[in-house]
Amino acid sequence: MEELDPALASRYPFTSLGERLIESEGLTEEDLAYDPLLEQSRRHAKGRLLSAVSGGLYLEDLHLPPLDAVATYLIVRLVSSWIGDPFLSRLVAEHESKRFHRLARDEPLSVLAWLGRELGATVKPDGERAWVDLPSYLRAAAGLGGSRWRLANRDVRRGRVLVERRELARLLQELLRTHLLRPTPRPSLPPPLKDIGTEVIRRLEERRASIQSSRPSRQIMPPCIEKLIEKAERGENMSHQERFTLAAYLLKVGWSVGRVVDLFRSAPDFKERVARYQVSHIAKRGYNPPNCETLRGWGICVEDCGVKSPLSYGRRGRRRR
Amino acid sequence: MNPLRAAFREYYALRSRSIFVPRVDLREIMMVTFDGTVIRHVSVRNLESLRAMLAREAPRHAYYSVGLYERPAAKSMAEKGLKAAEVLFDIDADHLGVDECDYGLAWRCKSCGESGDGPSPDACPKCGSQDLERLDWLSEGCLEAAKREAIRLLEILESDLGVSGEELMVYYTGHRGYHVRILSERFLGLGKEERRELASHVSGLSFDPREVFYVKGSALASPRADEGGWRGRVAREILRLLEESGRGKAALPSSVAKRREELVRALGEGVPLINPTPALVRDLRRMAHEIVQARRVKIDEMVTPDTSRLTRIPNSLHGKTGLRAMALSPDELRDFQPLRDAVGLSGDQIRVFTTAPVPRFRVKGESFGPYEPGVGVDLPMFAAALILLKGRGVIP
Repeated sequence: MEELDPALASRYPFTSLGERLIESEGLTEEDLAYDPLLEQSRRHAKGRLLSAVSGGLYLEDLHLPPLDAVATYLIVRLVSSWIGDPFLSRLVAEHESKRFHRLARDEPLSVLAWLGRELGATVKPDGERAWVDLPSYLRAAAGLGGSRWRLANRDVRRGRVLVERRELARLLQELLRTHLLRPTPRPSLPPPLKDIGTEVIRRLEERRASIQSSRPSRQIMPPCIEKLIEKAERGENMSHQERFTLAAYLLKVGWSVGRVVDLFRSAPDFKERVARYQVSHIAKRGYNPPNCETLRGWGICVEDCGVKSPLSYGRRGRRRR
Repeated sequence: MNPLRAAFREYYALRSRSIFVPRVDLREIMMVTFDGTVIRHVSVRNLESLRAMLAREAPRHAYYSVGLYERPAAKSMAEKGLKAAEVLFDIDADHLGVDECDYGLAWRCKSCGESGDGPSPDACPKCGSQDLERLDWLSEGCLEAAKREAIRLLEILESDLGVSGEELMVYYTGHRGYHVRILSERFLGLGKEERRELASHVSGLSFDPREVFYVKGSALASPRADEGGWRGRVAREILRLLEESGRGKAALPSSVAKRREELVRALGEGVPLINPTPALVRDLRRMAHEIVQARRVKIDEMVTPDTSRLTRIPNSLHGKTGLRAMALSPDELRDFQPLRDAVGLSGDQIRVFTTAPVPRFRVKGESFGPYEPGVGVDLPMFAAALILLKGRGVIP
């Protein structure tokens, strides 16, 4: 393997380069909490966590030297694990992976291939493009909306999938996101780091309160829609198709645009303006939710409930109400 | 003991060596006995105990999990602790929409016992009851259709997923379908969504012709014949049609025929076709759609994502036919004929009374039937079992 620029650890602290740096410097939790030289790491870590909670993108620490960047990343992870709230974990994973993508999308293919290997994928550059091993491709693309990511529309040969450089960066973002979502044991933290955690919890509660969780009485809904609602409420990442299906269905059964938008508020990447625009657009065009065959193809269908469209499910039941 | 169960027991005693389950100690085993009792959450230490258990219980149905568990005998999925799961594809002739699968269809009234040929009427013509039982049958044409589907699945798994030979387990279910499991380590850890993606790939459901043919700048973006997956299959098939039309053998939409030479270069060598007309793009998309529809593998796409599934233990007997759920190599699959090759029960004669019409059928090269309801016939056990287990006869 070619020699790697040690500065890459600044941008990609989660890699083995970052790990090696921690080892060689003998960095401990005490250092992270008390070392005066790491003061800016603590400040930036807090900024990154709060940005994750508010749905922003924190880029003020891009200039940090490798050791400080690795320390910042470690503090983000430690504090997030210490808080141990699944909603926060999703927000942090979303934020960190977005931040990663902002940096990775301009990297040459050789660096992306290295990052891919760091994230457990086998990536083989081939001219301007690269081959990704199928299981890794599936792990990454399963969370992505849009039919261009579906395997059936790709050049896939003997267990490898051909992707463009920019697509590779996007896939790696997903791999990092799922990597960050893996459960970690809850650490005990020195007080200065706990203080950061306390502040993050306060902001997290504010965000939670702003999500109108009260959901008016429910109609009878097909299992696929029930599942999508749960996903939305839990703030899980949803594909474009899932969001479209859910919005189109709810609008057709009489929900207002505002009520549908509220449902998406827990989404880690929620943006009021964008969500409102998209939902209103679906409402204005009067789109029907896709039929069951399409939903099966999109992997949204969860069980065969004997109807051809989610709208025909429980028709009689709905009328009774 | 019920003579049918005795015949099952004899099979499991004589043929126990053919019963195998890879990594059996990590599997959940399930059985349904002849009196209908379901025995779930069983685990065994090794193949020997599995074989002994089957010979002892002589169950009507025997299954094992796609999942590999920490504690396979635990009662709930959470306690079982899923370590990994094989990727399962299920082909069931019932989903193929093949007319041959309706061969020998009959019904019987559960109230008065009246029976008849064909699909069930709304109500029994004799007593008016609506409690009617639909009775299906096996036909060679139907089984052949399921086999063709399984062969196409294996081709796609090899060319697209790169799994073949030892990495696969293929078997006839013993009834109207086939199961294919991917055993390869690298697929064992896939989650539900990833499995769904594989299912919608082989079934072509997520194929979108607009992703394959579209206009980019002033050129037509198109797939190339040397690509893999559906893109390659579509490109090669359209190329074939273009060649045939050149020899006057296939009719093409005029928009496509007009640009024949350019399309051959685009699909064959990737030379961009400039200024495609909207009609050309539309017609190519339509052709792509039709090609995928014709070649897609009609699996039950609800099965693949579910890691808690169980399927029949290889070479165990199917309780609706008495046939063996035979494990097959891809080569064996090509010439495989279930009603000839999957017979596991003996040829001992037994007398059967029919309670519904039995169509003409062939098992192990011998022809039987057709039989009217209410007649007594002496048959070899393997033929009698089909009538008995399909609910069309009883042992007097």
